This record gives sequence, C-alpha cells and structure tokens, in this order.
Amino acid sequence: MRVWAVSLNTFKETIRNRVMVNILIFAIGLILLSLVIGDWSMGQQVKVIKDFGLSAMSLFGLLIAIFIGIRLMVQEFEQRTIYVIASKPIHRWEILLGKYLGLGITLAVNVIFMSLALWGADLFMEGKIDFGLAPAILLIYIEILLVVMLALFFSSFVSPNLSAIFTILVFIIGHLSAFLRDYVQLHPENSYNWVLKLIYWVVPNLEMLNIKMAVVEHLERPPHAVTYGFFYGIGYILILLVFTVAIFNKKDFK
Amino acid sequence: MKPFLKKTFFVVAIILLGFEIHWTQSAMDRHRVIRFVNKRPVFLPRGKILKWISMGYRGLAADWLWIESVLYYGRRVTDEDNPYYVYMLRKGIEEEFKNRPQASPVADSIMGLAKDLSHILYRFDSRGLVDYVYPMLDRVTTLDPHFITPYIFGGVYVLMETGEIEASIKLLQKGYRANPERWQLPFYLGWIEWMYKGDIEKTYKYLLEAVRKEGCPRYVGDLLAGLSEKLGRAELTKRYLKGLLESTDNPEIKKQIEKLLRQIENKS
Repeated sequence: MRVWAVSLNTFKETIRNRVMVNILIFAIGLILLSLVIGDWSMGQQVKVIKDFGLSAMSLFGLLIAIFIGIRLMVQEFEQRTIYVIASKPIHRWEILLGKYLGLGITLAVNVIFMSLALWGADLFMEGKIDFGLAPAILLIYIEILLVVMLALFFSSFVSPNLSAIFTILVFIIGHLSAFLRDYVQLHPENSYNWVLKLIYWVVPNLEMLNIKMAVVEHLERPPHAVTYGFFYGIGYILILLVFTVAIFNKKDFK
Repeated sequence: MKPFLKKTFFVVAIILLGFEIHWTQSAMDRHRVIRFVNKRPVFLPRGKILKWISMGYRGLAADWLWIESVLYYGRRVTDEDNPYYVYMLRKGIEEEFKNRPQASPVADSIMGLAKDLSHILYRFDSRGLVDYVYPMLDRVTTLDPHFITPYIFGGVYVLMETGEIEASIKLLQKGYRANPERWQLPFYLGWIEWMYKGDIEKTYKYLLEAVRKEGCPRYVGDLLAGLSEKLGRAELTKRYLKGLLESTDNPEIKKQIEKLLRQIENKS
C-alpha cells in the first residue's frame, strides 16, 4: 500500500515533466513523419514505417528512461524531500520500489501512446493493424525498464553525470556483447579472453530483448524468444533492484 | 513607442523577414540541383562495422541506407528529365555516352527476343555513373540480410541501366545464401544467366531450384516447362519433380509441382 502511494505520487510527478512530454511529442511526430519518408523507399513504406516506429519507440523511451531515471532519486536529495518521506513510517526499499514503479507506469503510458501512433500509421498505410508487432513492443518496454533500473543503480553511488555515462556505456556494451562472444570463439588463443567472457556474462545482453527486425519482416524467431527475453530482462531488473536497495539502505542521508 | 507604431514595426519586420527568407531560399534552389546531384556518397564503413555501430537499430539503419541508395541511383540515371543527365551533357560528355560499350544481346538466338525488349535490356546508359550503388546495396543487405527488395533492385533494375552483370549476380547470390527459402532469388539469377550470359544450362538449374520454393508463381513453372522441352530434358525434369513431390509435405508446393508435371507431360 505504501509502495503504491509512492508510485502513484511519482507517476503524477513524472507525467507532468516537460522534458518527457516534449520527447513524447517528438517521438510521435517522427513516427508520423515515417509516412512521408517511406514514400521514397520504392514500395517499402510499410517496412519503413514499422522500422521507424519501433526504433523511435525504443530510442525515445531510452532517452526518457536515462534522463528521468537518473534524476529520480537525486532530486529527492537535492530538494531535501527525502527527509520528509523518510520520517514517515516507511522502509527505504519501499520508497525506492515505489519510485521505480511510478516511473515504470509513466513509461508504460508513453509506450502505449507511441504504439497507438505506430498502429495508426500502419492502419493508414496497410489498411490493417499488425498486432504481430506487440511482442517487440513488450520487449522494448522491458529494455526501457531495465535501463531505468541501471540508471537508478548507478545514481545510487555516483554523480548524475557519471551515472548517465555509465548507463549509456552499459547500453552500448549490452547491444554488442554477442560480438564479444563471437570474438572469443573465433580467437580462443587470446590470453585476455576471460575479461571478454566476464563482460559477456555480467553485462545484460540487450540483443535478447531486440526482435524488432524479426517482427517487421515476419522472420522465424528462436522458440520462446519472447518468453526468454521477458524473463531475462525481469531477472536483471530484480538483481539490480536488490543491489540498489542494499546501497540505498546503507546510504547516509546527511 | 506608441502601440500603433509598435504593431506597424512588427508587421513590417515580419514582411521583410519573409521576403528575405524567400529570396535566400530561391537563390539556394537555383544552385541546389547541380550541387546535390554531383555529391558523392560519404565514405561509409563496411557493412560488418555498420552492424556494430547501429547496435539494436539495424533495421532502421538498413532502411536509411536503402532510401539513400534509391535517391542516389535516381539522381544519376541518365533519363532526359534527370538534372544530373542535363548537367553531365552540359559538361560535354556526349562523346563518352556515345562510345560507351554496349553488351551484345546474347539471348536473341535462344528465345528470339523482340527488338524493343533487347533495347531495354542492353541499353546500359548509366554505366560508370552509379559506381556507388552496389557498395551501398551491399551495406544495406549486410545490415538487413532478409530485406529482399534491395537484392532484386540491384540484381535486375540497376543491371538494366549499368550492365554490371557480375556485381548483380554477386548481390543476388548473397541474397540467396541468406534467404534460401525465397523463390525470387534463384528465379532472377536464372533470368540473368539466360538474358545476359546466354547460359541456359545454369538458368535451367536455377529454375529447378525456384519451383520448389513456397509461393513460387505459375509463370516460373511455365518457363521451366518450356525450357526443359527446348533442352530435351523433359524426362529428367519430370524425374526431378517427382523426387521433389515425394520429399515435401507442404500441400502448397505439392499442388504446384503436380500442376507443373501435368504441364510437362502434355507438352512432351
């Protein structure tokens, strides 16, 4: 109940954030712009619209996740509102989880709006709605939630600027980690392979959450790719949540 | 300042600025066409590196490069209404256009192609003017190997303008390796072997591969039936198709092959 109260308050607070509203308008604008861009693609409008739509959803969702996720707890300390909340009968982990869920709901609303824009453009172009995009949208949302959690985790022990850099770095490495695995397999003789393997196993492999190309081109997916991707993402979120709560519990509020 | 003067100043300023924007825009437009078409595509890393750089957005990157390829190609095709063509003529390269080597219509002897058709297939007007299109299409297809249109665009349409037979075959073969289930790729490979290289043995081989793919249209089967009759291979084709019939469980393909078998039996 207390978690719900915090998350509802965070939702109300973040949904009014001007940066977020601007990014959302820009993303929807870009999805609609793909109607025009698709016209230059020699009959590939539908593919272009879907690619643009899903990529815009993911990119702008991540922008919101990084910029708002990092400020989520930091601003409570800067504005000293954390003292007011902490003085109430509420655990620290409840504050953190409530804040995270609140932003999660805001991001869900964003993803829903962007999906509606994409499906609207698709309906306009194809005359039907491609619900086959839904699994990719679900995994994009999980990826965004994971990035928010990363931002929260880093912001619990380093400055906001550094946590933005770290989050972006993990995002980049996360999308390239499959290449690390392939590199190790191609060059098994390298002495530093253990470092690459360590990075591969520690950093989340965000390509597990990327099925955009497969849904757009109706390609065959590995069996249970969506289920595995979903639980893989949730697993990382929960691990990071535990670490963040542990750090947050030890944090000196003075 | 009085409110009336303020308003007047504001309106005059808007009008003057509007004229200024219109004038600069028109001036830029006058020079734009030439500058724009003469622009070479910027250096791009190889497809494999682009795959790294684009991270989780390979589809988006492929679309972007695809649109760039189409626009680049469109600007450099030597149609009379294309500003690039006009620009090249103005630069005085008419002689170069005249002396450009033309391929001989090898397929004439095989199928007796109509003159008009051979004129379309062997014009090659844009030879040497679209030198970046194949490297760009190679990058598009490395980023998104299942995007079929760029293979067909490069393998068929660009070929008709440039006569780059080997580059077209290479692109279509790349597509066939990545999409062995698509009938279009062996079909067009067979088409190039036939029309541009005159190798009907290879065409026959590719059409045999195309007819076993799901969704292969009837005309491909018709072509194969005609070709096997011409080559005196009706018996061999029938045996091959019967083997295919037994090896597949797909009712669509079965129906297609049965129809084709009947067609060959009727002809022989």
